Amino acid sequence: MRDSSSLAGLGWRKRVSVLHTWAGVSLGLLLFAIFWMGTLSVFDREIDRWMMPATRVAPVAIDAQYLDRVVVAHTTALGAETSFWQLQFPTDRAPFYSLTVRGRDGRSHVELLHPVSGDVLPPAGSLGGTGFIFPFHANLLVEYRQLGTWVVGAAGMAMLVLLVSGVIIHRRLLADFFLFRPKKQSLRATLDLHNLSSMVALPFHFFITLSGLVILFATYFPGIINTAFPDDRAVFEQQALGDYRRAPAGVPAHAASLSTLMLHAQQRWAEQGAPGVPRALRVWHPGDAGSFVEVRRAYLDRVAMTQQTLYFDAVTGATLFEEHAKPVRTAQRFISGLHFLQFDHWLLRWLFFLGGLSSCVMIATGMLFWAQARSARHAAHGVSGAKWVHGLSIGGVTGIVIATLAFFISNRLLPQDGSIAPDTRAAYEVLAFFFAWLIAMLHAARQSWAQQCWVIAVLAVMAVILNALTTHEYLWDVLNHGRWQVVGMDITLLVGSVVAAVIARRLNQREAHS
Amino acid sequence: MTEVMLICAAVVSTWVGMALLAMSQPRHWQAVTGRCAAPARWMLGVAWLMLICSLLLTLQAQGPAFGVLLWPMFLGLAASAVALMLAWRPDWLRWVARIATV
Repeated sequence: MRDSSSLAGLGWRKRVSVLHTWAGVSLGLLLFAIFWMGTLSVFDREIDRWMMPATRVAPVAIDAQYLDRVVVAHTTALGAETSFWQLQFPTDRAPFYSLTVRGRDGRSHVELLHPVSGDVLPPAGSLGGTGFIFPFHANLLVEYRQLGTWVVGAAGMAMLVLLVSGVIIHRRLLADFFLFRPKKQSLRATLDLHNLSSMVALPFHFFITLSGLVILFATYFPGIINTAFPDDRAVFEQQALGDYRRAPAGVPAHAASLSTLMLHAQQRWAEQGAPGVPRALRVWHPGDAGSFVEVRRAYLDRVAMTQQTLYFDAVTGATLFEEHAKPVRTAQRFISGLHFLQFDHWLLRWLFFLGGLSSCVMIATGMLFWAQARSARHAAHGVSGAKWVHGLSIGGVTGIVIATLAFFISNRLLPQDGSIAPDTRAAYEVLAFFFAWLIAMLHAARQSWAQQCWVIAVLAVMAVILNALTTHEYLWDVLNHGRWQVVGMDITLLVGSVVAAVIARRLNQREAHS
Repeated sequence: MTEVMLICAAVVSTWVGMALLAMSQPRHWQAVTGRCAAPARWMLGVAWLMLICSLLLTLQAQGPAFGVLLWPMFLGLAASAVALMLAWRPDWLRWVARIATV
């Protein structure tokens, strides 16, 4: 006989279970899309290199003389209409200089410069990983009134609720920690896989979701900044973010050598005990007597995205301002850094990729378990709910994978000879993504995971073959040239194809038995 | 070079720690060894010791910032590897059990 207090405890757990179930079912699709795109974003620059063959240049060390030799000539040629320009320095993952020039009309354009010759690289004609996959993850490509950012934020909050409630309702947390019984009936195996993928990567699921929310504190909690700095946002930007600004003098002046300024900045960082290379160099009001240069340190060697930014007078070369991040700022930059993964650390990058995949498995098996557990009961009562959720799960899980592969394949199939304008070409790739997703969603009504897994297996191999045929860089060649980014993507596609084929075969066998 | 060796040592010690943790549960102990006798009680303590050891090795190799991110990922990787081996190839864990019964 149970006493009343334990019954009340049971009731509470039951209520949490209802919360977990319904938050999961209603937001599962959205969460899967965000986590899938986030997982791919771990390798966004590698996807860029794969989708933009013209940018597959050999990495070189940063050379200070490049600034005076190439960049200054290039920006001067653009004329007096430039109000600001920024140069991003090459890294191993993006081995070229990227120059953003903003005109007096406020419009910016970006050019990629070859790291040795200084030639402008041809336009990519593709949004790639950083232009499509990452924004999809961050704001669902909806920029109108930051609506997408808010939806992703709400989904992130829901994810935290799901994680906490999931731990509460997991009855045999420690006893079942290592338990996975793939040979049992499929409902049991699905729940085992849901529990296993949740529990083994629980710290990852938790800190990746929480950090995603912390990054956008200024969007989600604008009131905090307005309360702490009621009069002037510029004060917040200087004190909290370490930004320095000054107005143009209106008098033309000749600028000092940027190469010398860059070496000066590197010397200053060495004095601060953190020798490093610059990530970005920005010139404000070029050609004006009030012009100043902002040099940011690369954070490839650390998790925290602190930049130790230095500001110099562009004419005299005198130091105007040094950014010293305060503890709270450094903590926020650390939490952002572990989400943005801008550091050079291949082991951790791959582990985060696997962590992201385990989040995807957790979400997918959660939705699948809901539908499987109810399919017989719903069919008996003539309710179509389980059928709908099952279909939507297929369309949202294997469907978005198929759409992503269609995005890659269209990138290799669309002509690259300039016969389509670069922007139009990029738009066609996005169109291919959504068209393939729509087809997959419609096909999902057939309730067949296996068929969609076969499609994934075929498309992934097709992408690798098309990459070899259209770029004439074959897997074995690339192995010799050491271009690991393209090889890595090809090998990952092939492994994905094998995994999809194995799953499809097992699903077919299961169907044949039952 | 020492950094790579420390990382390898950390990964191995995480995996052995997780394997011992799993086998300290009678169900998995029986699946691996086929014996009905209960697993030795000290295995649990050694398991936790191995996991703490892997944390220290990771911190030593990579410093606090990368270390605190790597270690939970090693834990997850090792735990899923052990769970998948228990599901399909429990005999692969037998040598850990053999050390544990010496």
